[in-house]
Amino acid sequence: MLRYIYKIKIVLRTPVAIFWTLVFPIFLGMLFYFMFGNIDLEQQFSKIPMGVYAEIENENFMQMLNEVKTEDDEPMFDVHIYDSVEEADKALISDDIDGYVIVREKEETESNEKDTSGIDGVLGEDDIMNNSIFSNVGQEVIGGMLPNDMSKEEIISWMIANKDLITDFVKESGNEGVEDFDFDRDMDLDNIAGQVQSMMNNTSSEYEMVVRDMDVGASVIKTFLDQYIQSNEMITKAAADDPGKIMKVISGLYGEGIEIKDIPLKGEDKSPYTQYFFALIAMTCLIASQFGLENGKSIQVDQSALAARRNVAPTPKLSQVVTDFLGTYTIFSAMLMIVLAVVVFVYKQDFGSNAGLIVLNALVGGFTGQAAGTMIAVMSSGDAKKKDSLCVLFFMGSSFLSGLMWADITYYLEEKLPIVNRINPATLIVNGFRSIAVFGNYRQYFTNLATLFGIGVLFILISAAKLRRQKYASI
Amino acid sequence: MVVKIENLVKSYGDFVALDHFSLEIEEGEVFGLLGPNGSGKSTTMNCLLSLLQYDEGTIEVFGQEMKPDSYELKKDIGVILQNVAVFDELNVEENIDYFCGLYIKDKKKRKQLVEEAMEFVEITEYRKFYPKKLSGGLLRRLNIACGIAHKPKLIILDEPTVAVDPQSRNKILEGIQKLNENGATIIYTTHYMEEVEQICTRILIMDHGRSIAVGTTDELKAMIDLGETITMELPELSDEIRSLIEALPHVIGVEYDGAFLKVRFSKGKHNLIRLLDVMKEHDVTFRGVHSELPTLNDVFLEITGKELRD
Repeated sequence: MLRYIYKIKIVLRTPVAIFWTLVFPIFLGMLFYFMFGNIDLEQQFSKIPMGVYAEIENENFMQMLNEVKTEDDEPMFDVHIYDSVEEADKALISDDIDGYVIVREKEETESNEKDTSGIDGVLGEDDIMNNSIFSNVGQEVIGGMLPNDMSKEEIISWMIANKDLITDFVKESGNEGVEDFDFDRDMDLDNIAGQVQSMMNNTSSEYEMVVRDMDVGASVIKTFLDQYIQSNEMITKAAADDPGKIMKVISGLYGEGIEIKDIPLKGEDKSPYTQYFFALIAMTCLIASQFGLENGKSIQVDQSALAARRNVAPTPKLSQVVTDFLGTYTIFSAMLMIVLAVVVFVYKQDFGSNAGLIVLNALVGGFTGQAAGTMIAVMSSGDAKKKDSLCVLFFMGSSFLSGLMWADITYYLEEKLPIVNRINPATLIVNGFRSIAVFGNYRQYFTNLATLFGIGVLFILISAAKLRRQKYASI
Repeated sequence: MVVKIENLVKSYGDFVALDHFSLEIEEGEVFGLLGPNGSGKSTTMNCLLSLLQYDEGTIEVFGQEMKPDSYELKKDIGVILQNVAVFDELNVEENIDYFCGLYIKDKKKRKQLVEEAMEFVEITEYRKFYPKKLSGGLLRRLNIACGIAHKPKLIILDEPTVAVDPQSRNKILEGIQKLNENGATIIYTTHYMEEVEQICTRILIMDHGRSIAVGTTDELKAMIDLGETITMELPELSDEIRSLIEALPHVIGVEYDGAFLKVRFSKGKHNLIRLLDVMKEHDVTFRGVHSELPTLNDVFLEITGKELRD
């Protein structure tokens, strides 16, 4: 406890540490605030311009595109119809649209049997990213449970007739907020019937998505398309396997319907410049690596007389490092809270109901950042300057690979070397923020969080193992 | 036996820093480790404290093998390193408390020990000062207080007076003697022979990682031929006079630099009288004269052929 308290005192009396973890982020945030603060947020949120080139008629797809809405009940997409791919490409290159979807007749080839949703690769000219997504919708929709030619009204009637069963399935789904689910009150029958009908009738289309850059607009189009195709698959496959599952499908659509509507720019994050603040917080988390670095150096005999003095004491160095870690992490967390409070209350960034998760993500990010710094100090050989340089390299490298400096790098890595995006701490921190604030994808968020924490723990274990065995050939 | 080192070998690549080095230190001694820079003093101390790996040999402290995790042994050892090792962000009192806290868990006892340590090195009035506000001498005293606050039985001081003013140096040396009087065994490494002569009960002279000579000051001086050195301030010296001086009994060396004549005698009586007789007989005028008994530097010079301070 004594060492913990003194460590806190030491950090609090280190102006450089206070500057980088507190003053600098607040100052940078202030710049963002004054640069973007006068922008009317509501006006800034506009429909995402997208195009459709349909080789075959697909009324349901078009209807769904037009029906997707934001939380504020505004249309999500500004849909442009094109008569040719060339025309769509031209619009894309001139930035009139964020991307377009080609709807064509499904080819009955072997490849169509695969689930190839996701980005296939970069094709074509002018850096156009070509994304082929195939639907697997079969002809045997709902396996006879519901006839293919049912009208929307007939589906609604059928659902009302089976409302007890549907209610049971919804409640059994375990989704958040379904405990007091009430069929008559909560079920958007018209919307869900529309989706069911769309999926029943939509049996022979495949979709190709073309974007120029994988920016937010393109991400939203992709998310919508993924959701649309997955829903198609779900309703057809599940129902075909077991007609009884139709209730599950419909109950699932209760949740999915909301998700389709909410995932893109869920509404919690309407600000176009909240991304800057997320980058700012992620950067602050990585600055914690400096704390870890100093902790690691301060117990290494070949780094300073102070470290030597600590090593000759009858207190195990591992115990000293852990105490130091806790001390610096306490201060880092406190400073992070102050930064977040300033961001929310002074710079008016409303994280809404996600605030707690954003704080959690930042805290875990700081933990991993600090652990990385400790590991760099312990694992690297050489003098303090070399260790400092390595830590800066980690900080800059991790930030760069996460897209904090050049946004497209993450998409490039996703194509060429996706593992980097799965393990790079900065990417995990940023994606953690985005997954809840932009896409409302909690599963993605918690996966990121667990990975980030796991990497931090791994860094700590590696550092501990090295410290226990560390002997010095020279001082 | 408080410390026993046997056949210690430590190499850095091709460079042998310690070459089968051995020493034994008894309880209650103030043991001086004397040698020029690079002779292996600090390497010996770092090996003794298990801070450094060594290639061969054994090290025992209080009769037990010294290892990095010998925490029980470490409780009885205090270390004052060559470089000041304190936190710039903590004041004098906090620094001593921090390092004492690595040894003593009991808060009340520690508080008392911190007070005693500050009084011992006479920095109580600076207790709220941060290291950057302290003079070099005070900083050294703080460094010592951090190493001795827990009242260790064995105290290792590695050149604690480097870059310290004479007044602070005397205080430090007095403090070390006081610690010894209070029962601590001291190991003192330095390249300042005067300090070693002043405080050490036994001395080991080392060079190139080897032990050259060990004993008390008198024992070491007895090992060499030199009895005394007579220095005379002399404006000029003819070759005739120089030859006469060189012919005197017990003379083992004559040096003249144009201003001072230095005559080295082996052990024998009446050397000064004989020298003065020569000057008187030949009417040589001189301004001053003084005689010096041999120093440890003379011991080192005679054994190694070079000055201790190179």
